Amino acid sequence: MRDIWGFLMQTLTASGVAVLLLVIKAMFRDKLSPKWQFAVWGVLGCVLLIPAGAFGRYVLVNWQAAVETLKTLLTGEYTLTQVILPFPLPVTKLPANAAEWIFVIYELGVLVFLMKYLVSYVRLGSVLRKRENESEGAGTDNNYKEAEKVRDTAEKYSLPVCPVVPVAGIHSAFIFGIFRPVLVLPAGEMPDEKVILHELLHLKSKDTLWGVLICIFRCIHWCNPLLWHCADLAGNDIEARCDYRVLELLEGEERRDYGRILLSMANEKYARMPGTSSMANGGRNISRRIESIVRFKKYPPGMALVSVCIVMVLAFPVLAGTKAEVYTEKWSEGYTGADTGNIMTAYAMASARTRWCTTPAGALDTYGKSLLKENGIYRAMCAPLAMQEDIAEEMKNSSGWSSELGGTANAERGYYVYNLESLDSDRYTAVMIIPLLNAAEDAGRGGDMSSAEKLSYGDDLSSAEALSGGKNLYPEEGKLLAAVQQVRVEREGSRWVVTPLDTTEIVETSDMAPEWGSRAFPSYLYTATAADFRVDIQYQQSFAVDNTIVNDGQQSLFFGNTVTFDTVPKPDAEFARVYQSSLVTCTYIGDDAGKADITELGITAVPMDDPENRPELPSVSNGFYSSSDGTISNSGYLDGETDWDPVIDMGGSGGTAVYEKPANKLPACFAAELYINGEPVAELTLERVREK
Amino acid sequence: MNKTDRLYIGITRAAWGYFFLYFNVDINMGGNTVGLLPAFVGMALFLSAIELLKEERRNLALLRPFAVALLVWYLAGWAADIFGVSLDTRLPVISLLTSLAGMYFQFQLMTDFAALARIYVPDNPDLERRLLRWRTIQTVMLTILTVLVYVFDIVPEGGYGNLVLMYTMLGAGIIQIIVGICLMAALFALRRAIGTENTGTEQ
Repeated sequence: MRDIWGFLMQTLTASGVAVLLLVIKAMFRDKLSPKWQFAVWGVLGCVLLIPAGAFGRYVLVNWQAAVETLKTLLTGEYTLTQVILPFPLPVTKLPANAAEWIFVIYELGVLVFLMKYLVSYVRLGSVLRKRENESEGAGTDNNYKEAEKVRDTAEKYSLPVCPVVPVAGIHSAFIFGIFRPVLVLPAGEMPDEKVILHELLHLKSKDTLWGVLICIFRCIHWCNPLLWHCADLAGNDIEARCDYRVLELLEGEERRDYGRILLSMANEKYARMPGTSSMANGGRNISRRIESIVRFKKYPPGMALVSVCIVMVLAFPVLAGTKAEVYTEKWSEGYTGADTGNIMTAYAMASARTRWCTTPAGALDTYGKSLLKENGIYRAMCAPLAMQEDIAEEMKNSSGWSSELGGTANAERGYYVYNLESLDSDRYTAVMIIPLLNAAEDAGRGGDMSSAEKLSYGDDLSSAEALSGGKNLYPEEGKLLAAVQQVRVEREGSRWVVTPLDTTEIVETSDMAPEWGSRAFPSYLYTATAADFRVDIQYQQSFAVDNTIVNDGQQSLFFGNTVTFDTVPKPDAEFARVYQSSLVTCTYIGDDAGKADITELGITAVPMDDPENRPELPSVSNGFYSSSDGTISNSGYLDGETDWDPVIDMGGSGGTAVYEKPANKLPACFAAELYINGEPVAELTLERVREK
Repeated sequence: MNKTDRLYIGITRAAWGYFFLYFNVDINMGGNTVGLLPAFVGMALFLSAIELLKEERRNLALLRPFAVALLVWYLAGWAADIFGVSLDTRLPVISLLTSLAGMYFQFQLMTDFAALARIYVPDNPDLERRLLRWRTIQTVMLTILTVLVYVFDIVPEGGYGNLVLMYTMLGAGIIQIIVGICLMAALFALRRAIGTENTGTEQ
């Protein structure tokens, strides 16, 4: 815990579990044994030891989102508080604001309580050590008798034994110490065997250690009365468990005697002290313990099973927690911060920050869907913390957060991730491609022509038809308009975030399966020149998360279930498939006179992983041939004597595979053989000349 | 109604209660799911059995609050299912509490039936042991199934672990149904034995 927000998260998380435990203990108060009643506090102990919000999971209530919301509303910050350790770390710089001052006061409180308990422990320890030495030196008959009785009791019930220290002025016996415990007895009184039995059972269970642990939790959460109450109850449960064990070992009248001994302690003062276990724990608690003695029953052996099972079923969801969910209810309906107010916007932003992307694929999936759905909350999930405030400000506008795609995304088509490349283990670059609705589709889906006017494409798309003034372009028949954007994916603490590297470019491409590559999309370029031709291979990889939703309820007689694209982000996703494609172009770079001698052009190309190990290329095929390993072979006659287009599309090949890391392994180069007029004229090695 | 009748009817209702608890048939009505063998009917049968048998076994009366709470929860869950709402998802804390209460309830109910077997069928100690054995297996299976549901939430989607977990849950579910059938069979055996013992006594 490095700030007050971290402490709030930790203490609120523990409080939620404490309330749950109080309810469960009330449910099973007279049904499960005192051993269970104490053991179940272990669940709270574990929660106190696990940093709140660890692994992006919350316990019962998403306190992290609540604390982040409060932080944003009070300080205007859009940072992310993460608890690394469940105890406060020392402040290293002077407080600069109210929150930091409050944290300093909290830490001082922790110190005060720690010192208080430590001093009392050390003082009591030194007094007892002194008394122990004195009594050993004195060696009175009484001391020997007390020690002998303790030994006899221990032997009778097969319990461990420890040194006995008689101290004048105390009313009841207790165990003190963690590493070298001693049994402290009132001096001059021969204690009852049952009292010794009770204390030796504490010794056996190492209850002084539990007491110290409880004290440490008290110090860390000194300003949380609920947890102090639970600490008191846990202390009482230690005593109740010990009573139960004593009663298990006693019979008939001895049990009633034990109750009478407890009753005699009802008026004794007691002070909780770390490292001690005292049989007397206050009048009210003793009266409850006597009631328990009256109701005492031995639980059948089978109860142990259900007790353990109940703790397991309780502990698992509490310790494992729940994955945080993003608050998108309002925003998915087109609401903006202007509709929902500051608090809801702050909460939605906080829920987005606390549901971070855990994988690069998850971050890209979330980013793609934020563009598809124009959803600022989705964007906040995968945006760097530095961008959160700008996103929140945009969301507060009446128009909401804008993806600035330059057009309306076609959410049903999904998105495409191209050319994912690892820069190092924490950074990737990729190309995000978002299919757009064309103007007619946009208008036809309830949009109007004014929304279509948002489409403002460059003049270089000469094939597209302008409705008016170079705007509102319809793509050609069978073509698709797509927004293309270079992005960087990187790790920011535990979060994977996406940052756009440049503005969106609108391109027109074939409408057929864009995941299989397109000349219009960025690609790795391999090139070589020979025999007046430049051979280029555009190599592309596209990566797909499984976003298929099979609609069981909408079966077609002939086509089976309908399938739609899932537009809900998957921040923990991994890529399911990777598609590879190679597109070959031959460009004539010789003079026009040379064109007359060329009537037929052919090429074979094979990707190479090892430049030193050139594979054997297949003969050029009569027509087009490609295989999924990337081999391409094509030949054809050139149309026209000398006026054929110098840029010749030789086709492409593609393959798909299940995604396996590392996925962006690119061919080192391509081996190719150029054929002119049916004869091989050059062996080429195409080197990579452009990254994307 | 005499003691034998009460025992006979009470045990019968409890046995059929397990039928509703462990078996389910859903039908789809206009896109919504309606359970034809709802668990709340099972709880109502258990509650009715408790009312009939509480004088024979006082501990059974302690289970009444749990039975009522579980009946209300299952009824609410059944109604919510019709409207396509999952109470387990919407109210996870209540769901957890009812899981714990349900586990204890099932355990104690069968423990009490085993005690009834010991009292009313003293000549057949195997019957008590059989009831206790299936009670223990039922408790373990309920724990495994509940924990598996939470593990499912942790394991990443689409991975190999997810697949293994799905098959494990399927296997555990099948075993649980078999356990349910065995529990019913054990209770019907108890009913038969009590009927036989009593007939013998009356004759």
